[in-house]
Amino acid sequence: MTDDTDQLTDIEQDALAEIANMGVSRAAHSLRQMVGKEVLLSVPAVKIVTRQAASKLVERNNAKKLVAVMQSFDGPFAGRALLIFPESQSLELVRSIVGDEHSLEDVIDLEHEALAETGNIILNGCLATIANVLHRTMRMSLPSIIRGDGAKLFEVGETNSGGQFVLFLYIDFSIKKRNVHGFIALLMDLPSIAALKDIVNDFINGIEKQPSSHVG
Amino acid sequence: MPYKVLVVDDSKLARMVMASAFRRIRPEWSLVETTNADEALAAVSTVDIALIDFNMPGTDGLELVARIRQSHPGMPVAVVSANIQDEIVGRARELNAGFIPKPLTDEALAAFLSGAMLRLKKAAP
Amino acid sequence: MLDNTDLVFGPVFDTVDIGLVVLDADGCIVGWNEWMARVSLRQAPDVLGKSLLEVFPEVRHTRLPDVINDSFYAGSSSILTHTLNALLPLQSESGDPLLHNIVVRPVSSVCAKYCLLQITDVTVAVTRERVLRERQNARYHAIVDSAPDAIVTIDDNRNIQWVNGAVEHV
Repeated sequence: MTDDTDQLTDIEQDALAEIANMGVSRAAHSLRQMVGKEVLLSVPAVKIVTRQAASKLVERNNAKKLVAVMQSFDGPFAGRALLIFPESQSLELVRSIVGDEHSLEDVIDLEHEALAETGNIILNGCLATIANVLHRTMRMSLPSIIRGDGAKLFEVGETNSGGQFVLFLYIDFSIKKRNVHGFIALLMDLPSIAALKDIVNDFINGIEKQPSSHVG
Repeated sequence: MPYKVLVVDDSKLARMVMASAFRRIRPEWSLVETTNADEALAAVSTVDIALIDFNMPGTDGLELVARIRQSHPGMPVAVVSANIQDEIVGRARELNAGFIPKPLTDEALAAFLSGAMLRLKKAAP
Repeated sequence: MLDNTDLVFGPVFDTVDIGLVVLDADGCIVGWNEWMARVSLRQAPDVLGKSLLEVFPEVRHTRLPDVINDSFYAGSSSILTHTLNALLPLQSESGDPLLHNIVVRPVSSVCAKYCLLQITDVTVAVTRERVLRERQNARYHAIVDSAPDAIVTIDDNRNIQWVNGAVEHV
């Protein structure tokens, strides 16, 4: 058993990546209903990092103007889920969803609502799949939109109880041949990360155990 | 009659889930586990059935199915994926491959394997 | 079968300026407020006990059924905006289509699970944005068209978006 609550073992990483991939695929299915064309979403990597590190990771390629859709969740583990894009990518994403025939101005008008809804679909896809696969019920809030740099999104420098760690996922989107990259970050305190790891390990152990004789 | 099944998935957990399901529904069959298209193509001639994850880096599952079809036009093959979109299911069908959704259930896997066994028995001389 | 008077907040339920629809775990309508009756032209007694799909068959092809299921089974809260979805056939008093957003949330009482739909009218906001933008464009054009200098706007892809009259004299 692992004591390093701030690190993921290989198999835990795999389990979370696999669950996250199922979650975003479910979201892709919903998005496809709106977009009318194939939507591909995948989670190539999952890791646990500090909020400080997360604030730097989301600013890769020096993109400091970020847009995030935020939902809080609670249940056996609690925290906030953020879907984060550099501002330029968020407009690109909205345009690919609402359609090319709109002018840039129209897209900017529609951006807030379209982003809130798209973010809601993706975050719900992930959170609901996590709840489903791990056999737990969770409560989730409605989406809100936050803009700022990495430090603002991850509240670096503010003293608050816990909330030190972030379950960080890179996500790749492909909609109508446009590629958009973003991130999903689950901000949780140490007890919640520990609870999540316990539940994931139960899940993994459940798979490894041979069930009592059962004819399929 | 025990068959040999190729499992292609880059996720160790997903391979474990698959192996666990097989232990429950077809314990006497054997599995060959591979993590990417290259390993899969190297092993495909040694197996009777193939189960392929769609979402893999590099060559994706559907591309791999197309390659396998070039040398094994009749092998029962299924794409396994959480991505239940018309385009993906449609392309699998065009390649004469089945589709099994993730999260994997014993029922969905058993249904595909029953169909596969029938095809293999019919094809056997 | 429940009717509106059985719901705890009878008068409040019918006074709020948003649509409230309550579904039970079978997807049947157990609450339908006055606002919904006005904009859908369906009175509560006509819809209570029916499924949402029976009352609005067009909803079948939207995200709404999946989202309602998710609220029951996964506890998710969802938002469906008019921007991205074609939703319910609702109309304002003047008979014009009512642009609306729908928020779907799970609600539990002591012994039962419900799903609450909140329908908000966004027609005014959408129209206002359009009017504001048209006015802004009109002012912009008034200044720019009379400018002696050539003015050109270029988008991110280096394509010329728009030019003013003075360009022709260049």
